[in-house]
Amino acid sequence: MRWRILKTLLHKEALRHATNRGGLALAGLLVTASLLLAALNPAAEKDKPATLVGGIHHCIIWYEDDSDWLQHLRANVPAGLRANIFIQQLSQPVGLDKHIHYKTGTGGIEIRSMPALDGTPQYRVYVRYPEGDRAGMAVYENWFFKETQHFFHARATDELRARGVDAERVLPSPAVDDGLWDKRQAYQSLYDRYTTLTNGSPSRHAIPVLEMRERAVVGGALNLRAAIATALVLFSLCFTCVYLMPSLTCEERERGLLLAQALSPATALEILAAKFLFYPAFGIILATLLAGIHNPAVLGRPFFWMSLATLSVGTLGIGMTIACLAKTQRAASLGALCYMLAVALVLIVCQQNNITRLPSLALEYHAPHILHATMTNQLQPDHWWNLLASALLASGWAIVAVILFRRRGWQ
Amino acid sequence: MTSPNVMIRLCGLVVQYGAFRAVDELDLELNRGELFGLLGPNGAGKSTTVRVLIGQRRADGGEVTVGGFDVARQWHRVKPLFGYVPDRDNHFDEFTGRRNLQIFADLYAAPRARIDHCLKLVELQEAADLPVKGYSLGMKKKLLLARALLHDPPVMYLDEPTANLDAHSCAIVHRILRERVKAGHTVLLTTHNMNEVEAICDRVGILSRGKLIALDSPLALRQRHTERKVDVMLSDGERLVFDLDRDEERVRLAELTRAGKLGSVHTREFDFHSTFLKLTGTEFD
Repeated sequence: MRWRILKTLLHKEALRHATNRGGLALAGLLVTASLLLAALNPAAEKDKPATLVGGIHHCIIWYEDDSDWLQHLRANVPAGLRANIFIQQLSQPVGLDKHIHYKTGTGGIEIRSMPALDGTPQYRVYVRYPEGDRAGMAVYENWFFKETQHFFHARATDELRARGVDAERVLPSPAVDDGLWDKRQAYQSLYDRYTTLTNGSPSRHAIPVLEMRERAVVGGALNLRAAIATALVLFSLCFTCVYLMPSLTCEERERGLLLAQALSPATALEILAAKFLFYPAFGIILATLLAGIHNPAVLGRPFFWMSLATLSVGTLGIGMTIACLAKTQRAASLGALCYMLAVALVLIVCQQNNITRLPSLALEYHAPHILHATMTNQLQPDHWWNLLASALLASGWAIVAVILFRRRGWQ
Repeated sequence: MTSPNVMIRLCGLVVQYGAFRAVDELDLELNRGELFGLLGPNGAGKSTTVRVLIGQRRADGGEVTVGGFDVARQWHRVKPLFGYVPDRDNHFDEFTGRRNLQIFADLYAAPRARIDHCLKLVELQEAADLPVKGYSLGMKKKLLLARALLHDPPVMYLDEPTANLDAHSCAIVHRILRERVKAGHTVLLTTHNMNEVEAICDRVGILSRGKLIALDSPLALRQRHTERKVDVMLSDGERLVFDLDRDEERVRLAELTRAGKLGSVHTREFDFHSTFLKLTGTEFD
């Protein structure tokens, strides 16, 4: 690798963009969009994130031990919420005061076992909602308390009936009411009434004590401004590396310019290296500018730089693979567009159908997670796994790109 | 044993495209200080041969060396030895002619003065600072030649170097190529221009269906294939042809001349087109 050759090739790339200003114009538009986003803050409050309305797309009901109660909940998920509610057992015990990690836009109701209170089962029920979006959990809580009350009311009625008590009279069916707070209150009333009726009897243990807690999940809500800024940053990388680079590389090949360079002292590896240096640098500078406009503090976070470096290598690998497979500039542009649409489609389908493994094979799945986390300074341990997965995927794409380019890229 | 004077050597070169054999056991040696013209109809194997020489196509058989280096195994040694002028221009159209040359001069580590020298050689100094997209086809072709000359290579491959050039520009190209040869460099050009071949080539090879069917100097080809016939038109308008290789026809022509019956007399000149047809049985494009 000779610096003289690299310098010439880098200079050539810069000159091409200075002469054909389409790429620079789009970069300017992205910066303008970012400036407008920063200037016209829709939330106008720095301490509260601007969230998407109804942004909780999934609610997880966590439990430690299976029971009839859980069976009842499982059997009575309304058809309209089946894609949104997941009832999952904790794979390992979590301490009572420990937190379970939630992904962005996900809430939960955690049923944690507590020591029995005078023989009465006792649970702590955590309602976990994304910070700033308490109302987003209402629909899930409404269902949870309604079905919980139905289940324990039926159990209490059976117990009383077995003791010869006129259950319908002393413990009438709860009124149909959609009020969430009434439902919570109704369960407490049921518990109190039943305890009074069965005081001193072993059957009083049929209804557990539910100790209610509410906790916000820090960073769990999708911050609209951060999300748009994340999208702009990601778009800038994709634009430079997945669209601009293949398009111009294929143009060079189509016009015989790659051949002319390849017949000069520049080796295929040096031509590739120049592209691998120039386009990520362009993408990183643009992405840094966009991220810095959104939140200058992000530039001081090592995770941000690690994310940018990883994603630029990955997007460049994808871009160069497209450039090697496409014969013409038009094919490269269409290839880039088709790739991005295909990946977006796969990710949406997987999300809708709760397919978790497949999306993790896409760099585009991890990228928004790590960028959003670092833009909002809400790093979780999972984000390090996302970064690691991104690094592996980026390496894979880069290797494929180098192999393809050396075999056929410049011909 | 290869002579030290041989610059390019093709020995039993075979190139196949699937079942089609584009180049079939081609043996050819080009010497230092030689301008060689490679001729042939479309699909004869000329371009494929050049593609092998510039490392764009691997040979399926045989051996190709340039300056004693194997093109397949010692490509890095071969690359600096040649300059290539393709048939289709491949410039950065958005840049000026000078900028185009600067990029390649930097790649070749050629001095900046060489850019001006090459621009002057092809008479493009005045247009040097204009964008190439405004150049005529001929100017683009001359810029290709200037680019190929930047590193002063000992070997040059040219594909139709004078296509789209006016007579003056053709003369410039011919002059440059002859000067290269005079300086001991080797030039291989493919062309369809028979006048060009006769004017500047030291030797000519004719390819047909991948095989070399004729290899000689243009003069030798002329001598071998010129018809010794005379076309005569008599005073009364009658047209006759006399074969000078036959005694009785020479005598008859002499009689007519003495009798003053000749209106006009034309000797048949060397006709490369006819020669080519005779050799290949194929219409030349």
